[in-house]
Amino acid sequence: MEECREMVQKAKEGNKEAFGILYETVYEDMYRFAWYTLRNPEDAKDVVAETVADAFETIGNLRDTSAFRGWIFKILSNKCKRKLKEYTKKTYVYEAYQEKSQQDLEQNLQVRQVFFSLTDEERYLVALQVFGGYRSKEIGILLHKNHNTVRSKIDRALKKMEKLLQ
Amino acid sequence: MEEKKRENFYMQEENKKKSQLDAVKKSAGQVEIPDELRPQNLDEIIRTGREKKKHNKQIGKFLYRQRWKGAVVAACAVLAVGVSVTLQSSKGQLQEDTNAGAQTEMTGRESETSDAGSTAEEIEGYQTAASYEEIHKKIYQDNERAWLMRNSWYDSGRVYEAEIAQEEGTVDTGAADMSMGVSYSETNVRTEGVDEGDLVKTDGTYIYTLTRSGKIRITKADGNSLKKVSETSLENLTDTIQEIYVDGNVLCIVVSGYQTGVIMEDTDVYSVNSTDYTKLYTYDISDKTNPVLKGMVSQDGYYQTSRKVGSFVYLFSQYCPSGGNPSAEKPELYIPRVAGSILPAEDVWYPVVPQTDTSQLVISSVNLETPDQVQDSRSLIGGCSLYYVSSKNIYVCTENYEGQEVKNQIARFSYEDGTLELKAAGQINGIINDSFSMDEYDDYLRVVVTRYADGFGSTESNSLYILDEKMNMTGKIEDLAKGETIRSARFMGEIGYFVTYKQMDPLFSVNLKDPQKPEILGELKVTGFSQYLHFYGEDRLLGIGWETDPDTGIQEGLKLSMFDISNPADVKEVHKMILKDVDLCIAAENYKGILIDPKENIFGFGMGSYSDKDYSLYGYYGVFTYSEEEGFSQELMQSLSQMSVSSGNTYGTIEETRGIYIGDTFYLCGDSGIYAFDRKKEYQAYGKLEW
Repeated sequence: MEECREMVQKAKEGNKEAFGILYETVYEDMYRFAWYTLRNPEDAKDVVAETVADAFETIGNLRDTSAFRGWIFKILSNKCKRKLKEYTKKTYVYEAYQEKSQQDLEQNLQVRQVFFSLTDEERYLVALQVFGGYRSKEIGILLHKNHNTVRSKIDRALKKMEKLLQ
Repeated sequence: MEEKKRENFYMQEENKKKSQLDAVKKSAGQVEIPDELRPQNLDEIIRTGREKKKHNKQIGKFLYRQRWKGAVVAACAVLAVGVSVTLQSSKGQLQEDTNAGAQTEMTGRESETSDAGSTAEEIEGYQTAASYEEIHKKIYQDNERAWLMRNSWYDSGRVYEAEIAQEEGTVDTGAADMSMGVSYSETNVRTEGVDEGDLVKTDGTYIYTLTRSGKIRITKADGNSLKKVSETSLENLTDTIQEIYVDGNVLCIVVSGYQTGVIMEDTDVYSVNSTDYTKLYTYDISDKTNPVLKGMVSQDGYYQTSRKVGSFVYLFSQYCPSGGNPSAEKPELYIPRVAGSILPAEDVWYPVVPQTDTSQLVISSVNLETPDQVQDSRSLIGGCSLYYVSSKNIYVCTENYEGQEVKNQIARFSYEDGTLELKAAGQINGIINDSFSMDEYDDYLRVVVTRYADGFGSTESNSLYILDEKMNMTGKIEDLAKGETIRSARFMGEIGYFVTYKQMDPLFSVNLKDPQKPEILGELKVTGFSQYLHFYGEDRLLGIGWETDPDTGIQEGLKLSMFDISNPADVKEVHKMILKDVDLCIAAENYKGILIDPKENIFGFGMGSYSDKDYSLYGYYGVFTYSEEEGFSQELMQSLSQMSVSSGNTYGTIEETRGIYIGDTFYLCGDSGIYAFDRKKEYQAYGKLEW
């Protein structure tokens, strides 16, 4: 954590390497969050890149050096939310993306497929919790929603997944 | 012994959820992250990100995708300059902020009403600015301090003092248009006299329905005869209709939409941005076959809610300044526009103690006699999560998570005759469940909250606070129902009722006669809990909620409860009806979706049930009545399966189907049409109009 603060400080001074080190701590979760929310790996790549560009430009404004992760995820989640809105406005055909690597267990593919069948909002909320690391109360403030509502929506989504995976 | 069982059950549920979430995480875990996003390619990522922001836009129906290219040195140079400039100003700011941080006390000053609008005002915790530069500083520089303060404690529970101008008396409560002849249902609203927009409206002769994608249909309803009279479409195809109002010959449509545009942030630095807006269209419907557009106003920000009192409509939207770091000299980039022009600095309120949220709540009033103009408009920096409008005031609440204990900041605007004025602001501990948990009476604000005094993860407790018009606390009750949270509440004058729940549902009744000394009158424990309370006739309180097994907490079904409140100190549950297999109920989430008319003795709402076999959702609309002798009667349980226009959107159908009544006919209105049922013949279906 201490190294993190130092890194943020350096990054704020314009040190790109330091920014890179910070990015390393979050980039995998960022991509997974975007991909699981949007279901489209190309769009996920794009929003991550846009987020990184924004973050690099404005890290000077970040005062709390321990809040890097929460801060960059907030930018990312807003971009994903916007993207989801765009999807509903045009006829969006989502490409069923089957990423298969040797280590990809059948079980994981199944869970992912079921996850992708959730509604936009359900995916977004669960992804915020799983990859963003937010608790439902924090998601509540992020989205200006009542946290009880957030919690029950997530519960419902999980119950739905449970049924579909049986 | 029971306690232990309950605790174990909860533990199990929590563990199950955790392992489900872990499974989701794991499913993504082994996937290769695209090479392009790896940290060693940071330069390329930043460059591409900037390109994407500039070029990734929708031109008509075409999605233009910029390909990932090789790095360009020039772009990086511009970036570097931008960053250091920002740093310099923020560093300078740091000094001042540290000093400001030293004073944790907040003292209000006498609020000065400005005539020319050049002096800044202050109201207990909020301040207006004298210039855009000042606002810019607050949004873009001071909010860093808010991040710093995140881990520090605030003085909890203290409400700030300030002098405020004395309020004038009378308020137009907007008398409803009384139609001679048949009685008909109205939208279930939070405050009588304050109308709220909804998906379906009726004036006793016509039924007005909307589709989100932009159509308004007017249907003449006479018993089972349903005839389409007119259909109006919005001009802008990307706009969404949120809700409508109908009052005499005036039809108002509240619309949300967005537009993409190019903004010049700085020399040679452009960004493409999608800005949200909220619009109000006002039509003259003296001739129902031909609604005539009378005026339209627009304001920046994503639609939140709206209200109508008399001939004024109040629009609420949430505005987020475009990303990046716009220069202070370009207020159009960080100040919302209302009816074409950005708000003057003195109409923008910002919290004196900076918050991390830089979004702005925009409130405007529109006089329907001049529907192409905005009468008054204000904005408040700091997102809001809850709105409560009484007959005199608008209360907006923001949750503040920056100390150890979560608090709520409440701001009060008066809105008499369309004039908006921030009158008072204060802060209380705890989370407010919904707008029914707050109630204004006799110029006092009563609020029930759930407190997390030692931060999240600690045991909850519940409190009742009474605040005067300056938001000073005059009385309170703390430490109620430890370990439980508020699920529903309803106030009526000097008595208030609220429900807390973890396993059993204590229904508390509170005596609020003395603002200094509120006292708990009684506590009734019943199984399950109510999520919505509604006074039903003389001395009766209806609760709509869930029945649960007292030992395991497992939800057994929907529960209707009728409470005898003739003696608030000894409340009794006199009747109940349980609908097993109901898993979802709209009444719990959206009070406007409930049809309820105690005088007419009818209530109804949409609900859903998940099939045990394949977990598909089935929607229903239930209509009920109540009698002293026999309790609850189910008059109708109508399946909504034919009412879904698009399959797979059962949830939406349940959420958006509305039940209304005109005289002896009950109508179910939804996406697919209007269906009529004869109330005098056991709700037999006897007419319909499908789109």
